[in-house]
Parts: sequence; C-alpha cells; structure tokens
Amino acid sequence: MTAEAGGPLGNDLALMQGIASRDRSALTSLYNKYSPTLLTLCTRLLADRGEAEDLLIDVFWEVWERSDRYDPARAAPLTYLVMLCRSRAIDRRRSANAVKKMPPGMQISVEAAADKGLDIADRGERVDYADLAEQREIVRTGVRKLSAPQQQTLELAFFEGLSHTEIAEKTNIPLGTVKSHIRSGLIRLREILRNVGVDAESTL
Amino acid sequence: MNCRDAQDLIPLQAAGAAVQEDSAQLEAHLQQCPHCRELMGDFTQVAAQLAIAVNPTPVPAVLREALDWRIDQSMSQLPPLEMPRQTSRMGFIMALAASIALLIAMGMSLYIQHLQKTEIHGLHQLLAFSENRNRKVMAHEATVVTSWENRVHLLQSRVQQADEVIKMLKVPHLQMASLTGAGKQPSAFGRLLWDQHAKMWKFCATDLKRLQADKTYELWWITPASKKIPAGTFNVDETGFAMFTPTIPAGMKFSPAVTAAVTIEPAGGDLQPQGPVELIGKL
Repeated sequence: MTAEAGGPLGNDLALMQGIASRDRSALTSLYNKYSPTLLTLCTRLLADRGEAEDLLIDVFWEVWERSDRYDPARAAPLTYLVMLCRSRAIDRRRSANAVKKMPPGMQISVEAAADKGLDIADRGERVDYADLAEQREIVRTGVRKLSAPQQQTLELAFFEGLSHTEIAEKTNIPLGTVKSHIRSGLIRLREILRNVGVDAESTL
Repeated sequence: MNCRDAQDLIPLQAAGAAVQEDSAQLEAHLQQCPHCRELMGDFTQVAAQLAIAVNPTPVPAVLREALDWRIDQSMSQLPPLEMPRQTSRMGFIMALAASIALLIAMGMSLYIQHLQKTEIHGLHQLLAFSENRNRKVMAHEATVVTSWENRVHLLQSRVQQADEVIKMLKVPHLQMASLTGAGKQPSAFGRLLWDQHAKMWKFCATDLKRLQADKTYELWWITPASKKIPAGTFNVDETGFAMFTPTIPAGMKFSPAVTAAVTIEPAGGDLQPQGPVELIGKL
C-alpha cells in the first residue's frame, strides 16, 4: 500500500492506518508532511530549538511505537499530532529534570544540518502538500479576523502554553477578560472556518 | 460540573488555557456527557488548526535519520552498535560514533585545560597571597629588628656616655656649672663639667625637645665683654638627652664671669647666635 494514495482526509487516515500496520513509509510520509509545522509548535512551546527537535522525534516515535492509541473517532490525525506535541511539551516544561531520550550522537543542531545541506527540501524528498498550504491560508485568514486581544490570548495559551491566570499576569488583563477573549476567539474561529466551508480537518 | 459550566470551559481547555483543577473537573464531566465530549472534540480540532497558521520550520534531514535510528533500535531490541544492517547506516553510525568520540575527546581536553587553568590560577593566587604575607611579615620583623637595633645603639651610646661621666667625676679638680631652661623649654636642664688642669670638658643636656632636621642646638660662651664664642653644635636623642665635648678657645679662662648659653640655630651652626636661648647659666 502506498500511504499517500487516496483523497486528502483519506491520506492522513491512511497514513495512520499504515503506521498501525508497521508501514515505515507511512510514518515517513506523515513525518515529512507535518514535521515542519510541528517543529514550529514545539519550538514555540519549549523556547529551545534543541529541545524542540528532541521532542519532535519523541512524538513521531510515540506515534509509531504506540500506534494503537490513535482513535480516528476521537480526533483527526493532525489534531492528534498537535495535541500530542502540546501535551508532551508541557510535560517537559513541568519536568525540571527532563532527560533527553534522543541518542547523544543524534543531537545535531539545525545549523549543523543546514551547513551540510541535508534539509528535506534540498534533498528533493519533500512532497508538495498543496492541501496543507491551502488549509494554512484559510486558517490564517480566519485568525486575522479575530480581534487583537483574542489573537494575543489565544497565541499565549496555545503556543506559549500559558494558563489563563498566567496570561492575566503577563498581560495585566483581568482574569475574566482573558477567559472571555479566549472563549470568544475560539468560538469565532470555529464559526469562520465553518462559514468558509472548512470543517476543521476535512480537507486534510 | 454541569453542562453549562463545562461548555464554558471547553474552549479554554481546547486552547490549553484551563488550569489543572478545572481540567480535572471537565475531564470527569466529559467521561459521562457525550454531547460535551463531542463539543470538546470539535473545539480541540479548531484549536489544532492554529498550529498550521504559523510558518512551518524547515526540518533538518538528520532528525528523520534519528527517528529511523530510534525505531530500528526499538524494533530490533539489540544494542545500538550490534544492530546495523545496511552499509550506509553502518557508515552513518560509525561516523556518528567517531564524531561523538571526537567531541568527547575535545570536551575532555577542554575540560582538563579548564581545570588546569583554574588550578594554576588558584596556585598563582595562593602564591601571591603567600608572597604578600611573607613580605608583610618580613617588613614587620625588619621593623622590630630595626627598633631593637636602635634601642641597642641607644643603650650603647648611654653606656659610653655614662663611662665618660664617671671618668669626669673621677678627675681631681672637677668643676660644674648648671644651665637652666629658658624661653619655651623651662624644664630643660644643662650641666657643664670640666677640669681645666686635666683639659677635660663635657656638656650634658636633658629634657630638650628634638629639633627638625634643618635645625640644631648650639652652645655658646659669652665673655664678660659680651663676646659670643661658638662652642659646638649638638642634637638630642629621643629622650631629650645629649652629651658632647665643647670646643674651648685657646687662652680662654673659665670663671664665673663667663656665661654659657644654648640657642637653636640652622643645621650646621652659626658664627653668631640668631635663634632663641633655650638654656643659660653662669660658670
């Protein structure tokens, strides 16, 4: 089975199924498609590029090693990956003595890799994920329609991993107002995405 | 927690902004409420869309190699160095191993150099401290020695002066005259001892203040005709004592008509007294 066959949504689900059946190429395809997006998320959450790269490997290793945990009825593949990244990143942040599980020899910096010209795009292995690019533009358009406080509070919560109390402290915005911004922001985004005919990850 | 509270909290939970206590209560509610659970799933998917709104980061290919390496390890259940099955992977792992070894060696070398530098720096500091302390101790000891040498020298001088006084006291025709303090030193005292037959003269002074280096005491003979004849200069020691042999002009006769006086003059003395009289007395 070629993991990338089928429609967009079928693609991701097929990849997850391929992973569950121990198809290494399915994992590679899923990794190639989402690792750049997830690396940004991990870097924002951990504020450390090395830790973020380490976490990225951890997450995809967990996707492979514990593939039975993925339930398509509960979340689309992207949602599953994003929530897995957030959860593991927050665990790391909470752990004062986080131990890197990555083999020492593998801990090569991005800069070092870039120097070697080993980036995916440079090696011509990158698949043209047009569906992902299209979805990105839709979400960006939706986010731009949110008010500035809504964007700010959502960003601090989602990308910085701050709770509403921490956001209130950091921004000097009353706690109730912070909750209101986050709540109304996400509800608004949900409506916007629905209005443009996007049902969350239906195109993925 | 009821559905209303849960639905209020769901967007916060989906965005990752809920606090732990609220999350736990919401989780308990979701376990028993399919409707809220579905809503939670819906908002979670919306929130997940935020992740793709930001610019993706180029991922170094070596990370995928690392993922492959780790999966290979978990699948084979063999120690890392015994499991490679492909020449290219073997080469990659060997290169990594060599790199690690090189990095470790470099790290160790730098660490040892750092330790050596730190230790040398510490020794330098200790040495400097010791030298500084030794210098202070030696300086103190030198001061003590100098002080003792001065005291010994003073005592030797006193003994010599005492011998001279005793010698004077033994002369058969000893005569004495006293000079008393005048001016600003009323407690000072001087005594002149002589034996004109034996041609021996000594002058002693006590309780005179020490003068600055550019000044000196000078003894004068004042004849009945008010002629002032210099008899010699002297300085007192730290106790205010001095003894010296005055100059006696040829043909001068010692008589009660002669007055002796001590004045303060510029260092080296003067031909005529210019300064204030400190001691004075008739012979």
